[in-house]
Amino acid sequence: MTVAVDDAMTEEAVHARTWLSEHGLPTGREEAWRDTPVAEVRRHLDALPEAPAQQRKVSPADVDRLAGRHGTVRIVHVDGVHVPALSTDALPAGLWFGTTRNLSARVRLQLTTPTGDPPDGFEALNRAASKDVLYLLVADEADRRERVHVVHVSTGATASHPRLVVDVGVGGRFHLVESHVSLDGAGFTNASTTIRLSARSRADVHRVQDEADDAVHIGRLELHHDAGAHSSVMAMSRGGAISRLTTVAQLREPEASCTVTGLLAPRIGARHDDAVTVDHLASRCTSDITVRSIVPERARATSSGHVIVRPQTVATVARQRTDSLVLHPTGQADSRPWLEIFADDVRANHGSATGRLDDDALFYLRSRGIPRAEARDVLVGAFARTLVERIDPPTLRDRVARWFGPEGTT
Amino acid sequence: MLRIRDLHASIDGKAILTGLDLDLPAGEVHAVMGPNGAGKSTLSNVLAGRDGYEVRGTATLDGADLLDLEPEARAAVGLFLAFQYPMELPGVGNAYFLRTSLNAIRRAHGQDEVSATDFLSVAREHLTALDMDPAFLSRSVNEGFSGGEKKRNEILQMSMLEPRLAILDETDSGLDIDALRIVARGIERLRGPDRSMLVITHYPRLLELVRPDRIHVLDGGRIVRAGGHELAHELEADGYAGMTDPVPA
Repeated sequence: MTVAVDDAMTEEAVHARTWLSEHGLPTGREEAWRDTPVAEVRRHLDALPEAPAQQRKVSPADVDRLAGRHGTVRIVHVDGVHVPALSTDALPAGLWFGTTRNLSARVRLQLTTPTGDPPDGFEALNRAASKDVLYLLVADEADRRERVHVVHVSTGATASHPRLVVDVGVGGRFHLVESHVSLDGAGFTNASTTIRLSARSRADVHRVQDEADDAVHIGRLELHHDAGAHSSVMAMSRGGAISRLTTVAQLREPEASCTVTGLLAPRIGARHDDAVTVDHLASRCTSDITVRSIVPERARATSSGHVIVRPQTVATVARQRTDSLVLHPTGQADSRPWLEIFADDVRANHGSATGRLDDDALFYLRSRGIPRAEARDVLVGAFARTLVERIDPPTLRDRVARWFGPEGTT
Repeated sequence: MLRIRDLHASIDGKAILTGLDLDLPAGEVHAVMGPNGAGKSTLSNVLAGRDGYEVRGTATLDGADLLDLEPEARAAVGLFLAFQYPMELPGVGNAYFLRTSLNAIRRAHGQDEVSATDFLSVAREHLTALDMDPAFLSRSVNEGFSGGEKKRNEILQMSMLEPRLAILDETDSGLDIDALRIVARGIERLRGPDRSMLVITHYPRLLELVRPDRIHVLDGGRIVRAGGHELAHELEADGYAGMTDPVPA
């Protein structure tokens, strides 16, 4: 995989390009990528043109239909390029937004401080190939309750590498809804979002991947927490023949905390892989990982939770829970908790359960006149509901609930 | 109404029902009593269509062959089973469950669905009649309910679905006397000329509150005695021993 050099490339992009040319994309033999069909991903990527023959037009109605509207501020990215015509003009006080093309020197310095080597080839490719990085800055102490809805639309005509960088100032509060959708076709999205949380700040993040059935989606969400910062992430994946999300939460300073919730709902025959890493680098940090998977016919959902507790840290709390509902004998669910604990003062636990629909519950519903298929939907919706009801924007909650039936189960 | 002839049921090769005959006319309440292992719950499960049984014989409800129908179709022709152990359905709201059920049966009859607003209005009337807190509707089905609450929830469902035939499978089990009275009152309220009930029980005490028109004693997978209410007293005094000579049901 090669990326052409562009005069507008940031220092980070140039470094990533060099790294990528030396290391390449993952092969699938790496432990972190063993559950993702990397060879298929690479074939899919290689088959797409670097630039679309003809850019497809995306209308506001397309964005509404595909992603909904979940915030007062909406920013739209099409095939990795910001589209002002589809985005909100005015931003509330305390929030600043820009792209690679309009960064001031000061902001560029703040946002493009060296990030070191990319952790893997897909992140390197994203950094190198992103055409138009979105930057969001939340000012110190800005309590931005308004949700910012960032919509990444893939037209399916080419590979897109949307990249979003958020910097939340000291004591700031930020609520992000990030939607990944596609018009149709077999597009390839390689998305990366980094959120830097300054001391005492808080970020609530809802990430929805609802691309076309044939799409391939590789995503990375990285959260850096300073002292006392807290993040709450809910990541939901529905679309794509192959979907992989890597979430990395670094608790870098004391009393930072994160809650990472995942809902995997692949369609028939799809493969979804959710890999969460929480790195407890400081004392008195807390993490909580909860993942639920619903696996239909010939689909496979993999959930891995990697918790690292570094030496010399104290009073660490780390919880992890994975539950899978397998709807068909040909479906497969895998759960892989992985704890690496190098300190003594730690309370860590993990639990995992995989099951199929309860025949007795199905019979109970059917005995009340509810046809088998509808009864099945009711039970699947109920399994998801525990997480769905935590979704804060009601517009998004309703949208996700409809994945499991016309009315959810409420 | 309900007509059962030569009903046999076995599970994993073990015979449980061994040629059961029973007639339940419209508007009547009949009790089926019997010792542990007599086949009482198997009878209710087989009539409601639970999987896992090998079944032969006939069972018709208003002429419809129940044994040929899926469980949901049996409900659509008017059969309702009040479960001995009602299922807990975490995440499924009671109101949603009841409305889905009601509308599924209405659809099967070619009727319009009931709107959420109309449903809530009707549901509240039924809750009041059963002395139930409206908060029941917003809870998950049977989750965290006491034994008495679960049984009352079954009666609430029966009340709203208005079946032609209600089978109450040991509805009295696990109830204290106050809960039993409330449940019995709910059952009595639903008695009517167009509805029949089959009350399956171990103990005569429920039959003091819900007076059956006829009592059948089930043992060894078939009806071995049948009679009026005096049979309950006989069983109370002498137990099931000795009731092995079959008589016509």
